[in-house]
This record gives sequence, structure tokens and C-alpha cells, in this order.
Amino acid sequence: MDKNLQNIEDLFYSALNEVEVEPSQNYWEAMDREFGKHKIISIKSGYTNLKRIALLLLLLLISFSLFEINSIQHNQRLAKKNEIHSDKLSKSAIINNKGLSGKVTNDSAIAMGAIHISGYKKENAVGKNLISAYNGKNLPSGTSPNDNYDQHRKKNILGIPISEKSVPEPSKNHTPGYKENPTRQLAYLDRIKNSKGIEDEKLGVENNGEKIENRIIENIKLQLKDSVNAKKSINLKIVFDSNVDNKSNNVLTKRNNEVKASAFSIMPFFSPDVAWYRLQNDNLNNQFNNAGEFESEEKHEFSSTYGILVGYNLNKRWGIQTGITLSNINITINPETLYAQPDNTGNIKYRINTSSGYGFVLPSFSSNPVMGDSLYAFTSLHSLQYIGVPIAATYNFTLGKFNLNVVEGISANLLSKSKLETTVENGFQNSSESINKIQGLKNIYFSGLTGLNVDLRLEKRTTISITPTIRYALNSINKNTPVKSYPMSFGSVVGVKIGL
Amino acid sequence: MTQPFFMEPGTFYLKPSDLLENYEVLIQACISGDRNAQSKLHEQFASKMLGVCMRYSKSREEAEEVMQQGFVQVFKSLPNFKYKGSFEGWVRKIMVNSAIRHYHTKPKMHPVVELENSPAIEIGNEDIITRIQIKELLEMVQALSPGYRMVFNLYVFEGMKHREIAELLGISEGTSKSNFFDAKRLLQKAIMNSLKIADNY
Repeated sequence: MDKNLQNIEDLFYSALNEVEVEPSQNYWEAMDREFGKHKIISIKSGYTNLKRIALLLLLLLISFSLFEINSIQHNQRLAKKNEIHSDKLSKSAIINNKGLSGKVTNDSAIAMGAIHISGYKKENAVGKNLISAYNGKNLPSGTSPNDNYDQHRKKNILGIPISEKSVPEPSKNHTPGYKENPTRQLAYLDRIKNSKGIEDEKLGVENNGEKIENRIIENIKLQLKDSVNAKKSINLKIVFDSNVDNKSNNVLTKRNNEVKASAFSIMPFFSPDVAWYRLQNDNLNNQFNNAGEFESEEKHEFSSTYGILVGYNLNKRWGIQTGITLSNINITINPETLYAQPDNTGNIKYRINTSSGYGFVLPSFSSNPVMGDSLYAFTSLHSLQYIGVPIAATYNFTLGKFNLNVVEGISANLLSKSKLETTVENGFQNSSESINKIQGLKNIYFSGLTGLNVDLRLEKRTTISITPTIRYALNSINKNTPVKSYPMSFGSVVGVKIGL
Repeated sequence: MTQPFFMEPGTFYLKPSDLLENYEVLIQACISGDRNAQSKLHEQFASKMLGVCMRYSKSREEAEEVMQQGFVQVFKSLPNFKYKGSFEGWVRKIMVNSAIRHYHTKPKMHPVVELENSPAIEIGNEDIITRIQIKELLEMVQALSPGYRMVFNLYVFEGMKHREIAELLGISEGTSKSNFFDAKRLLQKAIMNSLKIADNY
């Protein structure tokens, strides 16, 4: 009895500090299960990262595939177009044997071989090098072939300017049975020369002093028919001067104007989002809820993003996009018990913890709580609103009727509103409480965005735009909170794009 | 540093004397997901940590729940261990944090304390320990209300100041001191009762 019992803490320290207690069998079994669960969580977490990488790769793959498909289709269209031109040209160029019989004998095929007409310049072309293809099928009866040729020269549908210099010598190799006949060659070349026709004069005036800027070069395989040697191939490299044909010139000018006109576009949009948080425990000394608890206790409700985007096409493929967006995040919290704790000013209030931040409520029926007091809270709702300023690069390609854009960018998101609502119960008393500012939230966070935009043209300047988009936070939206929260969302941006 | 014996792939056999030196190896194995190593580590500390958790809990079941949560946190946080200071101390700190978290998540009641104004009794600690079993002392601590128990444990066993305790539990320093004082008085009373019963026998 020599010591004061008021030093009882020493007694307990010496007796209990090193005490060891053997866990029960139930504990070991529970821990075994927990080990398994922990392993599963680790695997799940690992797969989450893999899923993200896979998703990114998938997007890239889809983009690349679409680009490839688009390229193939474009090439096919070009080939088809060339084929159609070739057919038309063949029809036009099939010279009726009768019509040409005065100059070309039946057994002497017009095996001009490959006639390459290249290096065309306007000065050479105008007034000299226009082939007016002749369709002998339309010859009026009773007229001589040469007369027909002269008479119907004006009706020819294709004007093919050629260079005299570039017309090669006929090749024997193309036709085994070919017999060189200088007279026939000269006659043919004369026809080509003479075929400049009226168009030459007209073009000579219209194109006077102008330089050729737009040229369309096409390889057209001509099938020239001869009475004996049924088919002879003549490959012509034909240069169309856009200035030659007023119509095509106008079309090109118009097209150019259209491209210039649609460089800027504006798009009001709305995006229903599936949103979630990626949660990360902030530190070990977390005495409040951890990420796992928030994930199980909270549920993301309907979220949305809307705003206006402005796009600018830097060139045919690349563009930039910016604008202003307003995004809403709504999260409900399962019913829970709130505990009284000192707030930032030292007043005791009931604390509500959320994955976004925290807040304090003080119901009217519990005006003077003390530490440890508790209240039951029904389902709570916390909502956040951000004003976003995105900037994104777009890569454009077309797929059939659709115009596709791969969109990749970042967005600065400014917190514009945060609200926490709950209803607390104490016995028979209920009280709806609302907090207009959730604490622990940063004023700004940055997010990345990746999307694939599909444009469906409605009118000349109006398109419906649909963009499945993934948005992912690059930094957390909160600080000094039990968990760090990274908002993620997947939404389909739907808008009407208007070319300016 | 003594290397552990690898009895078979993924199986550790550590002699107790080598354990401290081989924590790094064991920890690395745990981080890499070796369940056997995790089990070994867990077994090494389970008894000690349950003793800690028992002091912070009302019952054995609650203590085991706290310890379970604590060990889950230990394995999650192993990559963050910096190998500075005692590993056991680090594990113990996590257990205490787990107990504090548990304390916060459970509904709390107002502590109703009926303390008689009895004068302090002079009695020797050694004498008490010989007359009262350690298990009984542990039950006395467990019988304290959660708030008192937390403050008493943190002050006596973790060596925290009242200011730190107040910060950790979200109470004022005065409340912490008051709770500690009340806890002591309740324990004194419990000891006296226990001694009286023992004397009657």
C-alpha cells in the first residue's frame, strides 16, 4: 500500500502493454477469406489498369481501322470513277470505221500504242491541243465519214487537250500485225490537231493570260475499235485544265469556297453521362470512411454535360475544338449515422462525409450537440457543378456518308456549385438539411477527354454530331479529405453542328 | 543478413531470431502477393495485435473485427513502409488507427458516469497484479465507455498528449483530460470492487 492508486495508469501499462491474446478459430477463418478477397481485389485493381490500356488501344485501333476502310473506299470510288470516265471516253472515242475509212484502212488498226500526253501547258493547249472525241454512232445517215466528223465535231462531249510534243511514235510492239504507215499516222495526227474545233477559240479568249493552277490528271484506258483488230488499247494520260471547262472550274471554285466557309463551326450539345469516381485513400491516418466504404455506400445518379463547342478546321484532316461546358455530378449516399464533431470553427455539428468532400449540419432540434452525439440520416444527395473549358484536337476522316473525327483533348473544370442535402431523424423529428458548399473541394481540376465523333450531314451547313466520349480526371477534385476522388464519365455528346 | 530458407517455392521458413532481420524479405514477398508470406507475417503479429485491439474494444469479437480490418490495411499499405523504425511499431500504429476508425463508425452514446466522491486509495501495483488477474484488468478497460476507453488507451499505452488525442478524436483538449480523469476514477472503482471480492474469499 505504498503507492497511490491515482497512478493507476502505470499499473495498467505494466500489466497490459505486452499482453498477447490468441485469436479464435473464427478469426483465422475470417482472415483466410480476407486474404483471398484481398488477392481478388489486387487482381481486380490490376485488371482495371489493363482495361484502361485496352480501351485506349481499342479506340486507336478503331480509329486506324476506320481510316484504313475510308482510304480503301476512297480508292475504290476513284477507281470506279476512272472506270466510268474510261467507259464514257471509250464510247466517245470509238470511231466508226466507216467514218474513218477515208483515212484509216480496215486492216490497219489504229494501234497508236500508248499515247502519253503530258507536260501540258496552257499555252500549248489553247488553240492547239484539244481533242474533241467523236462519237461515230451518232452520225447522220448519208453523210461521209469525214463530213460527219467535221459536222459533229462541235457536239463532242470531251475536250482533251494534248501536247504535240508528247505524242509518241507509234509502237509496233503493241500490235503484232501492225504495219508502219507514215501516211496513216500523219492523217490521224492531223485529225487530232484539227479536232481543236470551236472550243479552242472560245477557250483561247477565256483563258487568255491566265496560268493553269488546277489540273486534274487521269489515266484513261481507251478502247479503240477497228474492224479487223477488234480492240486496241491506247493509254492516254489526259490533262484536264480546270480552266478549260467553265463548268468544272465553277464547281471547283464553289467547292473551294465551301471548304473555306466551313472552317468554323459551332455546336450546341447535350451529353447524358454515366459517371463514377476513381477513389484513392489519401493516407493511413484516415479515421473516416475509406475508398471501399464510399464505393459501397454511394451511388452515382444521372449526370450530364451540356454546352457549346466551337470547331475550326486547320486543314482537311486536322482541327481544333474548344468551347464552354457545364457538367453536373449527382451522387446519393445510403442512410447512415452522423456523429457530432467540431467543425472548422470549433462548433460542434454533425459531420457528413462524402467521396467529394464533407459538410456539417446542425438541425434545429439538436442545437447544442456534444462530441459523440449521433443522428440518423436518410439518403443524402451531394451534387457538383463544373464549368469546363475544353480544348481538343480533332482528326477528320470520312466513311461513306459519315464524317468521323477522333477527338483528344483536355478540359479545365471550375467548380461553380456544390450542394449537400440530407434529412436527419431524431426520434419523431425529421429535418431537411442543406449545405451549399461542400468542404474539401478544389476550385479547379483538369480532365482529359477522348472521343470518336460521327457527323451525319443534314444540309449543306448543318450536321448531326454524335460523339461517344470518355472523360477522366487528371488530378483529384478534393484535398485534405479521407479519399482523393477522380471523376470519370462516359457520355454520348449529341449536338447540331452548324458551319459558319 | 540471414537469408530465409525456401522450403519450397513461395514458402518461407523463418527462425524467430532471423525474423527482424528478414522483415524486408518477408515484406517484399507479401507485396508481390505471396499468400504464404502474408500468412506468416500475420501469424507473427496476430497475438500481440489482438492484445492491443482488445484494449480498444468492448469485446473479443469486436477486437478481432478491428484487427482484421487493421491487417487488411497493413497488407494494403506495405508498399508504403519505409523500413525506418520498428515494423512492429508500424503495424501497431495501424491497429490503433483501425480501432479509432472503428470507434468513429460505431454509434456513440453519451457516457453516463456515476462516480462516487470516494477518496483515492493507496495500494501497491505489484500487490494488485498478484491479486487481480491480467484478464480481469483487461476486462475493466473494456468495460469503459468507448470515449473513455479511447482516451485512456491513447494516453497510457500510446503515450499521446491530450492535445494529440483531442485532434485525433475530434474533441477538445479539455474533454480529453476530463475523459481520462473519469476513466481513471472508474478503473479505480473497479479495482476496489475486485479487491473487495478477492478479500471476501
